[in-house]
Amino acid sequence: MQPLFKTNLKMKIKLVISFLIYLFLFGCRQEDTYKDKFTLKTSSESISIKIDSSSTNLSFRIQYLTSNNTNYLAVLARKFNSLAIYNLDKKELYNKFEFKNKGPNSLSTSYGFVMKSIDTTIVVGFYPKVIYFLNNNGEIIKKLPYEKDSDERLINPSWANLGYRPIILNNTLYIFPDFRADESDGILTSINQMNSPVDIAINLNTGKIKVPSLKLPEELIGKDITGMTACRTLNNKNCFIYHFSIINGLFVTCDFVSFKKVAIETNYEFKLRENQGRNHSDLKKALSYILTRDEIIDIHFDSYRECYYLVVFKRTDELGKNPDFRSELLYPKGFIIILDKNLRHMGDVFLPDNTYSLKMMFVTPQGLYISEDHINNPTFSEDYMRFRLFTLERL
Amino acid sequence: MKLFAVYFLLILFTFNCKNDIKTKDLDYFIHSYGADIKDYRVICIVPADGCSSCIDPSLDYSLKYKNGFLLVLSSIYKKSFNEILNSKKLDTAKVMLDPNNLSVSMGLVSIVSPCYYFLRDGKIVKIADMIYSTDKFGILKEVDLFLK
Repeated sequence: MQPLFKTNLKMKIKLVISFLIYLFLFGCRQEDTYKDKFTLKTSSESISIKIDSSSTNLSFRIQYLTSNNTNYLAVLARKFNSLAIYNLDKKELYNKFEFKNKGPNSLSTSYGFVMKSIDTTIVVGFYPKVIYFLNNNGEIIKKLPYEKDSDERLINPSWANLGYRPIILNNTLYIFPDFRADESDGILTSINQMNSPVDIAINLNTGKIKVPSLKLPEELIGKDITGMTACRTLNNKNCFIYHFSIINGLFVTCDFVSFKKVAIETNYEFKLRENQGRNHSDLKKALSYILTRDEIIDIHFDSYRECYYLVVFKRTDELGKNPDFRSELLYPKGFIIILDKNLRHMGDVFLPDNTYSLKMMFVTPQGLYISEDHINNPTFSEDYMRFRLFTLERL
Repeated sequence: MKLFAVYFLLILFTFNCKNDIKTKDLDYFIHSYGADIKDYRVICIVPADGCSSCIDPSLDYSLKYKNGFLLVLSSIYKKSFNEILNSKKLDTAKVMLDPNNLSVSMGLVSIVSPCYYFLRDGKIVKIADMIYSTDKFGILKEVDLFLK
């Protein structure tokens, strides 16, 4: 029989060890949760502009720009073939181009755009593959075909929507290619990967096309990339930040030679899309699948506050019998992840449903403007375009 | 041989079931706007906000307005309806508008390309969804032949 004090000592040691293990486990769990340090606060400041019958308040192709201390917003209305440029300070239309599909001043039938300046608009045509330079009157002053690169490889551009938007850096236009692997049933093979550059660079002076050596991330090899979407932005250090919808992470490159993968710091648990090729033959199944998965649809870099806004299309776990696919896809439920300049977590900001239109937002010196033209917003009107200012605030 | 016959019947049964369900859906959809599918032999549902190269051939085709053909335009925007009706000079009396998104919600049409329903005695005998076809004009020729 052991003396009593010895038994007590053993018990004490056991207790201390148990306590330490508990403390260790508890400590580890704490690290999994990021503390929201910042939020986006709704401001009383808003913009409301009356728009005409051939303009829209929902466009996936918009651009904010400044010129002579004036703020402008360019909005492409694809279905009306028009580009409206609004003076945000005067809250009125500044200029409008009606694009033609026939005649000497005609453009490709599908296109994206980027404004080089308030006087020069660049339209990126997809079919045929031509870059058009437009003057202040919307007249074509220069054309640059971009059918093939210098190695005679065909250029395959993607739509210029949202995070696919064309970017101009040092007189070079970057357009996002379309990522496909049709010949291998959607599965990205190593050969596909070697032929999948992440961007296409076109010199706007010479028209010379450079395909960067950087390819799609290797971890996509063997995965079904059917329906994979992507988005990217450019920061103030001339680095590109990419996201590919089937990988939980961000990919940063500053030299187009290599990527650095960074985990997305959020408290939200993503359920990303995968193997979408399986749903290809059944439309309803495919749309339902899309709505029940999360997707980062856009990344905005806020150069004034040096942070990023990741716009997340939030999944709906329980779809009703006949979900309104069109409204749900055009006006997704969502939230914004704020990351600092080093891509560290700053906050997750959940926005009320049926109020904001998350595919329309832009960054200004005052903050982030988000469209209030959600189709289910009781004040929605097709005749107005409205934005609410959100300011970055420390909690 | 017996096995083949069983497989054949199984495929036939599955196909018919699928079309029966679609017929019910289409019937419900058309009825909800006060029409009857038995009055039509081809129903074409066009997503008005689809890409113009995807929807234009069908809109142009609909101008022929053959007997038994119904064009349905689907959109959540009045501006889209107005733009298409005006630019294509469509006869508003002969076009059915679906401003409630019902056709998309019910999976009767994609949000990009038109879908054609070929009907016989109010039952779907064939579905030609342009989203799955590279030969848009081939489908239109088929519609022509079917309506003869």
